[in-house]
Amino acid sequence: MSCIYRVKYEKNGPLKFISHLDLNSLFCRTLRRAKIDVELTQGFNPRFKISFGPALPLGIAGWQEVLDIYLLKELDNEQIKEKINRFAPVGLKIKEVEPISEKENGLSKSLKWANYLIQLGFDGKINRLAKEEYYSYLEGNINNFLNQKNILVEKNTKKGLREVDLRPYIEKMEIVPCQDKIIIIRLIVDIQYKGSINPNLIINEFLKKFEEQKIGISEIIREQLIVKVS
Amino acid sequence: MINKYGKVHVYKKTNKEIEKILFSEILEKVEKPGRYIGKEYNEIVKKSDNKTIKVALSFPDLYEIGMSYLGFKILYDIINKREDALAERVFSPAGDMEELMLKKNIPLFSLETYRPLSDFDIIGFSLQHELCYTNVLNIMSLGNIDIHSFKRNESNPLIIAGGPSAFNPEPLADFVDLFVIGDGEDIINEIIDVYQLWLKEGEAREKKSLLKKLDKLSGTYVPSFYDVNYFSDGRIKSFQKNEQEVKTKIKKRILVDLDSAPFPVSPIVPNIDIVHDRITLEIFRGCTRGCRFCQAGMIYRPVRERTEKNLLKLADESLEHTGYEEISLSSLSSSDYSQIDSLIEKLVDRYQDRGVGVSLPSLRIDGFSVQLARQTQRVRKTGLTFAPEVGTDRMSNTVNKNVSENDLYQTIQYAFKEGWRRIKLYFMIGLPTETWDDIEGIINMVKKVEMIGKKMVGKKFSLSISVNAFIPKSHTPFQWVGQEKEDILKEKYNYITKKIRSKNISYSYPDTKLSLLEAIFARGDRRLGKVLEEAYRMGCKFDSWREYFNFNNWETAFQKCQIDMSFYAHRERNKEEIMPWDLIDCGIKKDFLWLEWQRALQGVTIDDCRSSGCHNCGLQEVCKKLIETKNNKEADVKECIID
Ligand code: SF4
Repeated sequence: MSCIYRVKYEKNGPLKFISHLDLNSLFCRTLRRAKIDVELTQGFNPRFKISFGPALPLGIAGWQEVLDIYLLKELDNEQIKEKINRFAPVGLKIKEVEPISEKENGLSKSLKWANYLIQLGFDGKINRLAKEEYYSYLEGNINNFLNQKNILVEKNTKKGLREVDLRPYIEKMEIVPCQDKIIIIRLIVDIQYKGSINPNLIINEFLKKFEEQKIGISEIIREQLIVKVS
Repeated sequence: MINKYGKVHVYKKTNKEIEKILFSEILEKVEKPGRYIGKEYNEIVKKSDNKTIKVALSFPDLYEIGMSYLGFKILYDIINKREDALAERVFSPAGDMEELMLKKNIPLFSLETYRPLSDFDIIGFSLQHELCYTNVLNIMSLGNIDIHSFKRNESNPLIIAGGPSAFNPEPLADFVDLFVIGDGEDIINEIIDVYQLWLKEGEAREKKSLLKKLDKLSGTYVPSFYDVNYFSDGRIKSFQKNEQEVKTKIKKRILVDLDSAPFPVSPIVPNIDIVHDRITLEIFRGCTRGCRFCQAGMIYRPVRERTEKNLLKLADESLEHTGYEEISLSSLSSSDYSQIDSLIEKLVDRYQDRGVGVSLPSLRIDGFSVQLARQTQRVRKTGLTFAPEVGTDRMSNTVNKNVSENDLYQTIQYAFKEGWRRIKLYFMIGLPTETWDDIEGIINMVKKVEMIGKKMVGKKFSLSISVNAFIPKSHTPFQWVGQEKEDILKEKYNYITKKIRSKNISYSYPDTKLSLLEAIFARGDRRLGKVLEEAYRMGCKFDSWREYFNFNNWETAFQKCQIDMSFYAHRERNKEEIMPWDLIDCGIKKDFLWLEWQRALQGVTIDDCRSSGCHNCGLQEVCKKLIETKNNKEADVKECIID
């Protein structure tokens, strides 16, 4: 019987620019340095048994990413966390570790939504609008955006250009109230619906309306991944 | 400062500014941004003051390539262990990155602290082959450093270069201040010591006095201290010192006691996938098999082994500090290590349960090596690679490969019996004395291997053939011969293509223009500096990469400089001719090389001096010292046999 632990971690700073595949070996090497005994997979080329949550698009930081590791023996949650953090490279930080039962596993099936925070940047006259005025203006636009039945865009895929409907992916989109002079939108997307979608695609489509105001995305963060409780 | 695109850099950016622009405006737009960030595990970021000697270790190729070289890691480790110095890394940016850097007006910077290249005291280039020279110039230019040695003074970084290609330094003579010949472990410390002393000279210190001091060290070469005279037909007439007290010969540095030498057990673990993403455990240095085309086999002599005990310790420490899942036992011919079977057995036993694998980079053609390969991967049966190089026993004798056709068939049969299905074979064409019979020999060999494979393995059998053009290199018995002309090479490649076409076989060979360029620079002199500069100004870079290589530009550059490619590549040189690298003494006597060339012509072979005894190649003194060291330490290693 293996001991499964669900690990919540942050992927940030320099690691924002590291692909999912590279993150995998980076994580395995961190575990080896930390001398945490992970179960090996069967087969010709034994690897650590780890299952990762959905990939983060390059350039997006994740505050609360999720993965499951299968350990050979039971270990204290805090100990796992501390050990890994001591040997992790800059940008990788374990935030929480908890044991889960064999039943709960199947990480990709249980994660239902991804929560993104998008900070917008300006380069135009909208900057001079009063903040409240601007909020209601944006809010109206978000409502209009979401009220569409379909949001069709062209997407580059391996099989060439393909049309996708973004609307079913969007669970929620709202303005996050904040103190500073910045505008942040929270976007919740469904990651069970036909795989994951790049939030850039949705936001860029939304921002098309503001083209002359030159609003752009200045940063995207994946705040957390949400498990659907059945 | 004006760079090659005529762009003017208005003011110098600090590392903070560079970092900010990099993260906010560049990384999102380039391919594989992980190349330009640093911040990997085991990266060393040191504080510095104005007494710290700052060295930029520069690799004139992409991050993924440079990070794979052991020599680079060794120097990084040695320099950073010093209190009074630091080493940071610099690599060539890919085309997309270079474009953005120029657009955003940021200079080339180090990965550790985003320090602009021009802020370093010393820039050390690693020269692994001749096709990286345009990248050397490009790195300097992107770092806002004048490419010409004579235009740089004491306020600019000192440009040094080492590595195998430094054994013929002449094509880079106009650009590099100081070459380092041979093993770098000791000399890097001596250079930094001299630099520290020179700094104490205060404000009045001059670049020339630094170079003179550095010239006193053994293994250093300052090209600007020598003038070259030529005959009217273009051959070299003489080398002439233009400074009185400088050396007459530059002797390569040899690390006698490899076992006690520092080894980087905490190398940087890259965040992105690189070419050799594993622990490189150097089990020995040098090779005395004596293949006559092989430059590495000559310039890295003699063989120096690490003890098994030490290797086991180094392996343990490296794994502990990196978390890698693979150890590669590296050397020029790893199955020649005297304790190889016991070493592999111990490593496999130790790490198998943890999912850590052991690998051998090169396999000798014999059953023993296949057995070793089997040991390293008890379950997995991926492909095996062999390098028969030639297709006939006659040619094998000429190049002193000492492997017969039958050896190959037997080895391969054995490999199939052991369960392998994929074989890769390396060949070389255009070798001296080659006839069409030798080409037929390669074809027959390939066909026979295919036949054996089909019979023993069946459908799942696959064979991959890689054929390269022979390139005559300096310091080898073939240094006098001309390279085969392009049209003949092409004819031979095409002929082989036609003859071995089969659905089991995949076949690859390089661009003949690339081989030509490599041949020119491998034995070129300092007059090629002009051509190099011209080509680089036209945008040549990453010449070894198919997608970048632009031969038209090179051709134009040669024409503009009125330099004949054939003079360097195709001309047969006679015994008396002064070679551009004659100042460099790699330890092997020219007479020995000539004798070997004569033996080649007669098809006479010689054995590895470690089993048959000394052939008096010129390194006898070193070999004697090696035996002494070995006896003193009672180390169980196999060195040369010498009276
Ligand atoms: S001196 Fe003799 S023993 Fe030493 S490397 Fe040369 S041939 Fe071999």
